[in-house]
Amino acid sequence: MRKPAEEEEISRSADRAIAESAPGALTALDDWGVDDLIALDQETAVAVLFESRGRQLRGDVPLERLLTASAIGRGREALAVVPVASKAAAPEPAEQPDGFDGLLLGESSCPASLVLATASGAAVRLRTEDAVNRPARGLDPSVVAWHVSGRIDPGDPVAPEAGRVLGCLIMRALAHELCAVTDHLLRRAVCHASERIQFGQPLVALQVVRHKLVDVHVMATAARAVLSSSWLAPEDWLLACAAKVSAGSAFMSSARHVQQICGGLGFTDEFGIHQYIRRGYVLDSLLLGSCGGEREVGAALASRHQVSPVPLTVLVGQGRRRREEGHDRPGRC
Amino acid sequence: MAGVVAEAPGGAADPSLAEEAVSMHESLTGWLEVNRAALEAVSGMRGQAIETQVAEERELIRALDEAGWTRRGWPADAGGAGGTAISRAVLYDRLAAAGLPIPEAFVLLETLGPVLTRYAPDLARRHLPGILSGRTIWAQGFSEPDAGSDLAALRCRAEPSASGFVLRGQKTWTTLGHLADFALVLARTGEPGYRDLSAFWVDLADPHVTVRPITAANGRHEFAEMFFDEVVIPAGHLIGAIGQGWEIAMYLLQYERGMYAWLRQAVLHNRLATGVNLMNPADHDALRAVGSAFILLTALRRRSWATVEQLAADLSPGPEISVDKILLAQAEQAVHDAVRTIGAAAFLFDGGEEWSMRRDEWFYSRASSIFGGAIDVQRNIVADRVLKLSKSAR
Repeated sequence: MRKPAEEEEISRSADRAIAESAPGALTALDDWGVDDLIALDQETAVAVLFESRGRQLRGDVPLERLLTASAIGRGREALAVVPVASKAAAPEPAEQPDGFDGLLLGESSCPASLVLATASGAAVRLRTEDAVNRPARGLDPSVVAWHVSGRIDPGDPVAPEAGRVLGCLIMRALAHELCAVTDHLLRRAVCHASERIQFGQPLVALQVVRHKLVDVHVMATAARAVLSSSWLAPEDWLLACAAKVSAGSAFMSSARHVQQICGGLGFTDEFGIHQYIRRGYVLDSLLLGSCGGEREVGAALASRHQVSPVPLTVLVGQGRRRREEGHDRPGRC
Repeated sequence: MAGVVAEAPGGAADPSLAEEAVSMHESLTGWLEVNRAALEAVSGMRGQAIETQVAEERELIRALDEAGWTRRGWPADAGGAGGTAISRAVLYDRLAAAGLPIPEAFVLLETLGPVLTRYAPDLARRHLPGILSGRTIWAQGFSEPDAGSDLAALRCRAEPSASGFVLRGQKTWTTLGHLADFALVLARTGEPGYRDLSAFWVDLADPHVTVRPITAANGRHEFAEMFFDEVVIPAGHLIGAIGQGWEIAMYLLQYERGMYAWLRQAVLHNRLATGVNLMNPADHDALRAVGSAFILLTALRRRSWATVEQLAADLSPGPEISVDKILLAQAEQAVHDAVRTIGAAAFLFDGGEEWSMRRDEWFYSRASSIFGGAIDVQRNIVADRVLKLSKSAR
């Protein structure tokens, strides 16, 4: 387990590397030594990079390529994911083996070949050159995304084991990004409610406001704990799904309460929380969303006919990560 | 690597604690595999009258004690076998995983045992072996009719006397109070407020003590009220020092919120697993309820184990433990709501023993957001001490 000061230093240097990244490129991260960190400590690498991307609202850094390289080992292939809304239009390989669509994030252009991760934990390699691929612009204009479609390359499959590892990784990576967005929203709300005087007192003097902020903090803390559990059993698909769903639920809670607490200011462009709310909704909609995700987790448990917790022997000696304690949340305004 | 400290992660903060956990886990798991059927035969079943359940659980404790398991994790000079809270945590986890009950007496043991061993080693030496072998049961006398979550408002009073102290007053919501032999009672020994409180070890067989069970909403005698009418308490039954009661209460609450949360998550995993086996996989409401409960339980397990490790290393978990208390209440209610949703009509109308038990547990789970410090109070603690929300203008 890393010491808190080490975690903080790695997080700060990752922030600098993400800030210096050119759109669509990973050069700044290579200079930072991203491959070494992934090889040494995949959890920390994924956590600090995706959380930094969320904090900085960088929608143009294709971090997903690092995950394909790590899980599949064929270099940095582009990775698209199936959005929740398109699930019906993106059937499983067994049902429709040659046609898929998905969302490609952070890429400046759409490559001729890419990997697509589905919500069932499978991955396929697609050839996209014959399909119509178009930029995806919508709720979050800062996300550089593509609607992609294509046909499975029959001569170039992704091994099921590698696909499962990749699926777990992208679930956790998106959960980290969501956690960072939630933390930012909570921090802004705490600052706003502490400084905003109404009826002669700060908003945080009102119990209803205090308790709403605490409820968001509790959900965010729970999401962090589930995410951490998933890292302890990295190939457990159920836990990876639980982490994504939990992070999405915490974000939804923060979006609802934080926007209310921040009042009219929260609806201005200048205040800026809308950018994080836009980003959070997009992230929540990928692969497995908070709405319906709990049912999917329940279905996975039903299919196993058992409820197996993270083994005690795996929990031993793990302590808590610095980021699990939410030290960044109260913060400065 | 620019700016990145190159050191591998993982590994126990204290290797001896990790070793203790793994060793206990391996040996106990093997022993339970061999003896599970025999233990099931002597175990009580929740859903019976609590008096019957506790009597049967004494047999389970006795069997575990004879094999030496209950003494693990308690100091050798207090009748234990040495080791730390880690060993106890493993015992609870393995019992629940084997589908065996965790005796109610252990809930009280976990809150009061650490207090006795730390603040009253002589009392621990005399009384710990009794509860570890199932011969005695303890109770915790904190809450009063006008002092529940607002514990510092308690009025039960202890006055110095020639032979020790004289106790007068009332306690309520005392878990297993009417079945207990001894109680740790928090009483006022000075002025109002939290500073002048002291803790005492009270023999409930004293003729000046009256204990009446309270019938809970689930129909069981889950708790009791205790009346102290000029009870003479020997000087040696003072726990800690005069005026140390608040510190003792805070020390106890770490275990009540840390180890108790761990113990309960183990039980709740078992309850959820039973529910999943009864579930109709086409029932979307049940699937959602089960998924929600599992996510909360996963969070609680991760956090409460880290807290148990802190307690075992004699570290204070800090105010963040109130987050765990809130999570525990949410998980308790989510798991039992999931079981209720799975059962549907059976939960409402099946008069059999199993569904009666599940209804009892569901009803009791409604209180989990109230007892041990209401979650509204926990929210205030988190607001003040974790999020540091100041009520005055910056």
